[in-house]
Amino acid sequence: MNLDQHLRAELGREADRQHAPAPDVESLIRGGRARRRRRTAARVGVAAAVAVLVGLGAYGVARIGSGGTAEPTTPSRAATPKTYEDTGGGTLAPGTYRMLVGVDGTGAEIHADVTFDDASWGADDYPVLYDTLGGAGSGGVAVYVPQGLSAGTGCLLSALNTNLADTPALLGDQLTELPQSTVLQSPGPVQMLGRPAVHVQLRIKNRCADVYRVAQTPYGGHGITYEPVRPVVIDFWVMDVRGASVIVETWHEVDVSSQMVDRLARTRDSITFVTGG
Amino acid sequence: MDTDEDFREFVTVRWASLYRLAYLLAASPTGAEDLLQTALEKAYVNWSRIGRMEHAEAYVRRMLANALVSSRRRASFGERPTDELPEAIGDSVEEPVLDRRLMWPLVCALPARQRAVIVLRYYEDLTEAQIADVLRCAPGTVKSQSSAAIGALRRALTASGIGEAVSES
Repeated sequence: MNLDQHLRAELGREADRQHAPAPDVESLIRGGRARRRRRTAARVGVAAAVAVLVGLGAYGVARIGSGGTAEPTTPSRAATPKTYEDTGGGTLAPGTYRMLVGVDGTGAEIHADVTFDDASWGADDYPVLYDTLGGAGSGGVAVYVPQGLSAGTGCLLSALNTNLADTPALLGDQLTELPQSTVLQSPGPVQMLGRPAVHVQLRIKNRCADVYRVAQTPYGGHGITYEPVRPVVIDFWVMDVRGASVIVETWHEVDVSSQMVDRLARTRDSITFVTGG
Repeated sequence: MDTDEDFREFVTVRWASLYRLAYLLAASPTGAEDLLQTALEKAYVNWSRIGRMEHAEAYVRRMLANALVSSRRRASFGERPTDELPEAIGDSVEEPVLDRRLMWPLVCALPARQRAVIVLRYYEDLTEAQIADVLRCAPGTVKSQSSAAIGALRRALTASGIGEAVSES
């Protein structure tokens, strides 16, 4: 018997020896409700703080308009942004976060700073935006060097294509082959984030039991939708960053509000790649 | 059936199975309960979504593993990960066979992420790619963690004088 077999047998035996205590389901539900309240309260609290700041800003503008003296603001010294962290969908406080994008051809890490300017974002593997203004629905932004693209059925545990093209143009073509997708806009040249890029737009209807995986990224499997209910529209911009083909992505459910699409675009446009990262 | 009732039924039916996995991941009964409490509270928050999944239990099992490797959770288990496994001292081994009472303490002594990889690989029967998805890391990381864990276990077994009984896998 080899070590693999010993481990398999012993873990199974050890598990079988355990007698689970009776579950306290009501405690779990109370805890879950408390967790939900905290999440909601955090969102409302930050939203209120943002509203106050916006109000103060409007007051300042009004004073300028009426002849008041506007104090010049001193540019604050730019601090290193907080590192983005997946908290399982927990609230992402407004601010700028540094995300790992991947590595370039020399093996050096590429990072991007991304700014979230309202309190409707959650920190999942990549940031998720909840449509709190125009109705139900969700969307998100991602930026990554893909390690693989969805293949096979596209479902989380299905095949992965790791034989990726090494130019943005060819990678854009590969994106059109994602399983379960319909091409809404074929690959075409655009400018994005001040760089030449290839833009592709797809619609994906998740027919998986749970998660559809778009790509394997430095943060793991990047899934788009967990609910096989409504199709998702994904925009990809593929661009060269220090010799690596980087994908900038926004996605949203098909029927989210136009305000939400604008907010996703605003966040996407805030992306700045960190040089020398 | 409303969401709470559906969640109650899920927990009642799946509890024992989830507990066994949580125990292996956390390496202690109290850690297992702590891990389950956290993962199931999180699952409750999103139960309207998770409860509709065809494989809701598989999803919650992933949540358990993911919760373990979160650094915030690790501290609360009172765990002190180490690269050095304790010397394997057990009952005298008269025959060159692996004493099954030896293996589990060695697995318990692995750092949390390495232990998670081992449990997901050998108890949950996941592939490296699937483990990478669960732990949200690169497959290469899973490979290196698995290699480190297997290496540490093999060294400890060799130090106990029974390594020769465990053939290369």
